[in-house]
Amino acid sequence: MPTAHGATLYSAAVAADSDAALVHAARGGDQHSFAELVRRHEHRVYGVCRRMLADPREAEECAQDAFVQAWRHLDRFAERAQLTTWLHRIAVNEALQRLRRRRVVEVDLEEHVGVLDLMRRVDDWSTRPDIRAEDAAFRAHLDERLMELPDQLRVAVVLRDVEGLSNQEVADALELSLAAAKARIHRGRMQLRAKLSNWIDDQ
Amino acid sequence: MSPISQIRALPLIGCRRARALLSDHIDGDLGDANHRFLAAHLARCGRCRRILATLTAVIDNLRALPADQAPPGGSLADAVGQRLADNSRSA
Repeated sequence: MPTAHGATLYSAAVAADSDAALVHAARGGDQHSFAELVRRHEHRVYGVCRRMLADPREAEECAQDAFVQAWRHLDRFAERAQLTTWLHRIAVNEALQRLRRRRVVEVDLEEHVGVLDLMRRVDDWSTRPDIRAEDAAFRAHLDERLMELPDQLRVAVVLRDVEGLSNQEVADALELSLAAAKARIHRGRMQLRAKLSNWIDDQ
Repeated sequence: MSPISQIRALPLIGCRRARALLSDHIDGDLGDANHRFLAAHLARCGRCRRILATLTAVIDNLRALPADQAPPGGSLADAVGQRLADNSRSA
């Protein structure tokens, strides 16, 4: 049993290690090293889960699950790969599994609103295409409206536009045809745009 | 709304098709025929031009959202460590 002083020195040494060194140590069963990896990457992993699941508590559980999966499968991690990318992929898969388990029957937007009705509503957006990319307040509002999208649309938009996957990668992740994935991404983007109309008009 | 205003409020022929193509256009994923159609439509439809501009802005801002967020309950390291310890005990 290490002394408190000894544990502090040990933690400081671990914190100074590279990800690769920590992964190497964790593969040997060193949970202190893995805990340091969790601390380094938890904001990114939680961020992915939060945007896909919306609910902060569920996102936190999802992020924990992702790290537990990472621990179990550390031997599958190719050391030449980016650890961030690998953890990101695990987090996306964990979030998708949770979304599938929800078995939420979502209303198909086109059945109830219709594309043209949606278009008319987005036409209410004023002639202000000059949203400044550096506008932090707008981004905060955008983030909130993103959380309001139906699960199936939000996850498509998050994977494509926030996480930067290609259309084909989104289709693969969601187990959809390419055409269906693109349609979902487009509907999500258009619905998000419609949700932002009031904020834009108020400026 | 006056009759003229009502007429002006109607979408132009082709708006529906044009708006369905906007994501592909922004993603650079539009075939030649659709590209020609969309360019011709946007040249005469101010509404669709505005929608394209604002949709582009929304997507640009989505791409700029921060990837990192802090877990509200603090670091996950302790909870994950506890789960790993529990798993190793039950294994």
